[in-house]
Amino acid sequence: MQFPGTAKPAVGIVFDTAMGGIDDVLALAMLYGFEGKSQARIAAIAVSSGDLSAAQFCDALRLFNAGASTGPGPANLHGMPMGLADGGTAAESSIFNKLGKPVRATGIDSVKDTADPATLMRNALMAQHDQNAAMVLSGAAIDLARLLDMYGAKDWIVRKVRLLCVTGTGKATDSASEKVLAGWPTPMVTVGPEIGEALPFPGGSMEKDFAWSTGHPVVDAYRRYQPMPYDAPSCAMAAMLYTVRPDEAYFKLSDGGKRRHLIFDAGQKERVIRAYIEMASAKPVPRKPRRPPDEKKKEEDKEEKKDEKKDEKKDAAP
Amino acid sequence: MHLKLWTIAILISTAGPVCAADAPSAGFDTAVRPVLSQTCALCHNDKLSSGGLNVKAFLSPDSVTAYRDGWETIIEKLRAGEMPPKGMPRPPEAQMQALMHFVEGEFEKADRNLKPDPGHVTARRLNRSEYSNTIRDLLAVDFRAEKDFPTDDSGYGFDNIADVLTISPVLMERYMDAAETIASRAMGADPLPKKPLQAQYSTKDKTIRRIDLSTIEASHRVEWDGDYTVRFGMPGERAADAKPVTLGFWIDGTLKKTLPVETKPSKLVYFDPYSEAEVRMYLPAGDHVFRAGFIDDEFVKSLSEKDAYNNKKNKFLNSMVFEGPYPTDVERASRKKILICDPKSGQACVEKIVTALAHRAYRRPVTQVEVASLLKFVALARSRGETTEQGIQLAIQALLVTPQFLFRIEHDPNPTDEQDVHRIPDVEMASRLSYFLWSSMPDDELRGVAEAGKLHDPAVLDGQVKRMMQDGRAAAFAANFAGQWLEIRNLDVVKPDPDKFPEWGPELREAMKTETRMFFEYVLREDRPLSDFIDAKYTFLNARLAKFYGISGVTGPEFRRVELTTGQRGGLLGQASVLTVSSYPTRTSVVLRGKFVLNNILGSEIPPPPPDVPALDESAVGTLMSLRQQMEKHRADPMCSSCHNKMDPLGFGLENYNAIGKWRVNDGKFPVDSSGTLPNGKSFKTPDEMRALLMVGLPQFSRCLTEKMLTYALGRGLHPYDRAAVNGINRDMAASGYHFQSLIFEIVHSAPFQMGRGEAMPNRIAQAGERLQQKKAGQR
Amino acid sequence: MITKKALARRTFLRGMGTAVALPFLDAMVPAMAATRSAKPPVRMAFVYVPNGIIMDGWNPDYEGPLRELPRILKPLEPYREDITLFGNLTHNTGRALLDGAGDHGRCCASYLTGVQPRKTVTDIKAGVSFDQIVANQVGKQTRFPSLELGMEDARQAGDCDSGYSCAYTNNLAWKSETQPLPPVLDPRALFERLFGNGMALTPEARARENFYRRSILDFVSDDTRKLETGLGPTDRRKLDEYLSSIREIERQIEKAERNNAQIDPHMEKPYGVPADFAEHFKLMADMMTVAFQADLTRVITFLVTHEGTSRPYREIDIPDGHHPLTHHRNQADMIEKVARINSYHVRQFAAWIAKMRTIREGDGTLLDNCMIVYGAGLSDGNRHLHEDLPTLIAGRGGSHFKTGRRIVYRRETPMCNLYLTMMERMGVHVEHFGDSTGRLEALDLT
Repeated sequence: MQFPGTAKPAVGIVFDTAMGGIDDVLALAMLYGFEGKSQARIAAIAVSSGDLSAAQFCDALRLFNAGASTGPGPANLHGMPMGLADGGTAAESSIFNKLGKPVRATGIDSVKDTADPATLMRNALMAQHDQNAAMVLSGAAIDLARLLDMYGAKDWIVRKVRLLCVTGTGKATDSASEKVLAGWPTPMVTVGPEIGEALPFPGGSMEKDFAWSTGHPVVDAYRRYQPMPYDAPSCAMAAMLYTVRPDEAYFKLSDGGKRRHLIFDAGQKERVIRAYIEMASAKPVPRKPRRPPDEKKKEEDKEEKKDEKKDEKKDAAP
Repeated sequence: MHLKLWTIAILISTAGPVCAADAPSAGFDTAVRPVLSQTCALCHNDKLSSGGLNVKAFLSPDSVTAYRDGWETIIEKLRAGEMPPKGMPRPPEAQMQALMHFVEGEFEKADRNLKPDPGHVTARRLNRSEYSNTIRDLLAVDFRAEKDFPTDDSGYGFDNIADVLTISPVLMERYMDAAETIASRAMGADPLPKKPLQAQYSTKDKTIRRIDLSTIEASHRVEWDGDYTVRFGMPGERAADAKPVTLGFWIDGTLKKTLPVETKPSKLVYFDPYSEAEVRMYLPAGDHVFRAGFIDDEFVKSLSEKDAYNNKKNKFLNSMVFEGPYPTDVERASRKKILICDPKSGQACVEKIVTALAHRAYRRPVTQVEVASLLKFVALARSRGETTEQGIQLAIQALLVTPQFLFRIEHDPNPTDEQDVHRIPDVEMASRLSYFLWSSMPDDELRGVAEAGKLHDPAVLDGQVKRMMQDGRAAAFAANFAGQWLEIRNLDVVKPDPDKFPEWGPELREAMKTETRMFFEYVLREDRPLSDFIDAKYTFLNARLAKFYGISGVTGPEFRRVELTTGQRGGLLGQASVLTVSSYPTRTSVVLRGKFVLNNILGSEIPPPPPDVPALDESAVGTLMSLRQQMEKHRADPMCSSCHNKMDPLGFGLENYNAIGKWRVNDGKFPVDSSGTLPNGKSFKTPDEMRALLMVGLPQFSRCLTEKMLTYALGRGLHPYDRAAVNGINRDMAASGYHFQSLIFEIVHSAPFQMGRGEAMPNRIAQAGERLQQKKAGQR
Repeated sequence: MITKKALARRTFLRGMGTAVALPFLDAMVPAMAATRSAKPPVRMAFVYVPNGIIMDGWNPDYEGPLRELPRILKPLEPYREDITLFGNLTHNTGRALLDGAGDHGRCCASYLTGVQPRKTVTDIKAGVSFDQIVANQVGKQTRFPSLELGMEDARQAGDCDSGYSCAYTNNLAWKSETQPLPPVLDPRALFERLFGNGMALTPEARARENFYRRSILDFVSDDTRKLETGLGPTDRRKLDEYLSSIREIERQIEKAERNNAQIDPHMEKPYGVPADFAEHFKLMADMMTVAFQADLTRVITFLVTHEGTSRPYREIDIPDGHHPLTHHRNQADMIEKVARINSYHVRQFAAWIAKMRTIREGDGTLLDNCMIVYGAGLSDGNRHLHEDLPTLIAGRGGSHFKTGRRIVYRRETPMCNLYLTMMERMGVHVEHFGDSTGRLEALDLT
């Protein structure tokens, strides 16, 4: 039952990413970490680079996390789908364009299994309490530009969204970003590349902190992205961290009105990187059982079988 | 807004010492905050906020008023002992009591400071039964709106809620057609069909009900007032020395005609002896129950079952044939009602007639202007060369589609001023009364005292209410209020599986309806205590239903009061009607029945289950696993247990009744186990014991019934500002020992029923919103 | 205030400038329908079934040209060249969106309105349904702007769906945000509405009737206006509803007078509601056919049974209630029963389609000039899913759609996009409706 005056649920995050760098992958991993600790809820994930394999990776990661609770049963294929900008936009900008389809199970076989990002984000925002949603944009602004074009968009964006956090210099690079930077109705914070450089994600963490799982999709992607060992710039992660925990003073903020920039705070470096690692490598948290026990049992059995299959696949993979 | 479990709250907080009533915050700090932050916060915190509750918002004294609904739910759960749940640390009882006392005390104070507000009753369209009844009382014409008009939507479980009674073009069309038909029927101008029609009812095509060995019954709609011949088919013959019998013919239960009938063999010899009897008489249009039977037929008593319908051994009734209509010289009741003088005698009389009609149709005195505008129609018809009577008919037709007739509109002196609280005028009071108790217009007496300005005199008012409760028209109150409160109307909709329940059929269904209707009417007329509804040791049965209940010594088709000697039946929850509407077509459902008891008897709302958790898989019950085993499994899931712990025990308590309310000791292969334990820890083993436990909840029941009846009486949902009225009623009910009539008097005396107010114009922002909506609607 | 809104909308639509086919007078006489040459008008109908569908039995495992149809759709096999199956259409406004339980109430109320209905048991509020927006415009051409039909009488007592008024599940069409249009259930009532009360009136008699009715309508409408002054806002709203209905009747009478020919329905006047489901459906279908054929209306919504209905289907040996069955918890026997109910409904629908195909019109069939949507507000009724709604269109919308195919759109594609496309076909040009994001591609011939 809904209690009046009850504290709102954790902030709903819309993550619109080109999957254009490994930090996008890590930022997505963090998002699941936050959800597991119920500090955030995933409202929608959209891939702006129109690269199917990127969407497939996001979906694999979703199932990887969902698997922990109910198993990737049919139920999970009916969650909010992944958003994927249709072919028009540059697929090359996605790292999975090179890395290819992920080795783990995914419910996405074709573009039909994904949703139009603008529609997806609109539908997702409609399900959020007022001022209880935030958006992270890492990559092309094409989807947000189309979101702004929707009927009455500004009204409900202002009502639902408390913050838009954008990676990059904050300078318009194309008509879309121009439209968004100029016309976005909520407060906006930009996260420049210098922040990503100043707060590198330690590649060594892959061996230690992610060791709890064999074949963690993130580790898999990290390894295949560049010859190990390497540290990754963390622009998207910084954006994610600030968006979910704006009051933790991980960063300084530029002064002035609706649009501000994150500013690196050397004093906080250790804390920030610890937060990166903790959230990105967090184990999936099983959800409370909703289905009567016997059914849940069935699902778990399914789950085990699935896992065996996956392992075989993994061995087969180079 | 739902008001829950409040009576106890009030009783306690008035009886017991209210802690720290004057220093709220101090009291809060000592009595409330510790429990919240030490016990409740274990689960209801930022992180978990179990059940959607986070006590954070409830940690300040002012939250008690600010989040009243939330607090009510909290207190209800504590009261019911649902929280803290088993296995969680539980503060000492004294501390819990102190908390509840304090919060309830705060509620009390808040309510006392509440500015009295009777609310506003929106213009109410007559619903289908109100329309039919009003036509009946206005023109003595039998019209079935149920058949001709689209279904009225319902809110709060009643179909007389002003806000949802919309008026669509389709309905308007029906109103136009109905007005035409009714007006012409009322004036007797409707043409009879050129050839008389024939309607046959016989046992072989199962259109006849066999009431007993020598009585048959058929429900038949007479389409036109007129003369008809009714023929009775009687196959068979009795012994050569058989005496003649008296054939009786009843209409709607009253004996209209008797005629002698030979039963011994006729002289002629043929193989299938058969004879007919015939009556010719005037039948008023409408639905009637016709019965034919041999009066005091001694012969059949000596007859064995198997010979009863053996045409060599017995003569019996097996068919009724209606033929007609034929022109009649009987003056129609409707014409008597309308033509109070001879229109041919001149304009004065015509005016008199039209004025009288408008006066009664509008349920208030009418102005000269109004009469004049109606008289125009008489003139119009005349100008087109038609008779004065046709003119009057036209005026009636117009009258019946005016908003003044179709709507019950109450006029506030300052329609757009919420603050202007005032007692409603007596004429409007008369309509509130008549539509509350009769679902129809005020009769002459009621209108008389109202227009004489006497109705607000308490003595006169109570006198009228008393009279109205005894009047036959009060049957509408049972049909419409009880019919919806107890969902009895759904008996016409439910379709029990004939393979599983061969006994189910129109006869049993009607018998079930009649039992509950008569029971309700009895409790009302005899002013019985509400406790009778829960645990009466009597009910109303005829042979059919008594047989079904396994109660001996009840013979014949007539219903009569029967004392209940065993614990099997008793109160509403022992009546087949209620037990049937709270079951699935093929099986019982402890969940449905539990929910039924909670919603309609204890007045507590149950949140619906999450979509992918079905109410419960009861389909396998009695075949694979006993219901109880299933339930235990089901309740292993915390998500389910919180509500099912409340519903299921109540449902189990009724498991001795199958899906059509027949007593049983086995369910499929398994013996029925109808024991259960209520959330408050009290447990029972039989339906009887459960009823006894429910008696403890009499205050809840009284409150539940009050809320439902007030909703029905006002034709609107209850709001926070009605809480004071409901509390008041229940305090007096408790004092008066919960007698049913006192509830009705209490409601009639209550502020919401006697007073009215205007309503504020939507403020600028609202209007701006409206405009935006309009733009959107436009662009779509 | 309802009428104001309605007016605002009408004026707006007039502003849009539209291409509605000319009124189709000669078609008022069915016999002649085949012989006319003018381009026939496009008609649309909705047939709504409740409690979702067993989707495994509905969705083919392929896209593109229709080959063998899945079990539930089998009855449509002979006519598959005339239908289009859609995949992934979604009604986001049917979802909880913070309103909690009540998917049955919500999915029905949002189905044609495309808005999230207010969760209430009394002061109901949804949106103007798109069939009514169409009716407001093309309805001017016909005797009845729209027809609302149904087959199941509303539950008379008890609540309808967890806090949602019965008005939401009893009705499909909404004339205004607060005024649903109740369906006509009784074939007899429908017959009388369409063809008069059976006993054929002489033109003189009908003229007399209309004359008096008109004078009565004039009388009551200015009577009402007088009454309105001196009433509060909600009371006025009620009377405004009343007035707009009065106007509707006036319009009908004008239509009737301008076109006095009495239509011969070529069928017996029904007695009332038949006990048999199939027979009831057939009667309604026959009258819908004539209503379209004779151009009495171009917009029909048909609410077969109500969301949450517990109607058993003994006609096909299913004694259990429909809704309880749909919460099948993946038990094979229950799923089987639901699938059989689904297919039974489709069978009745197929029979209607068969009939529509036999009627010649212009250089095609009546069906070619129709868009008859068959669908439900839920896909999986067990888990109350609002995505991939089971939806098909029979007919070519005026030889316009490339039929005989299954088109799967991307997930989350708004159902309202289909409505936008249909409005276009009906000659009502609007930029968006409900939560639409554009027209559906890949539907048209070209």
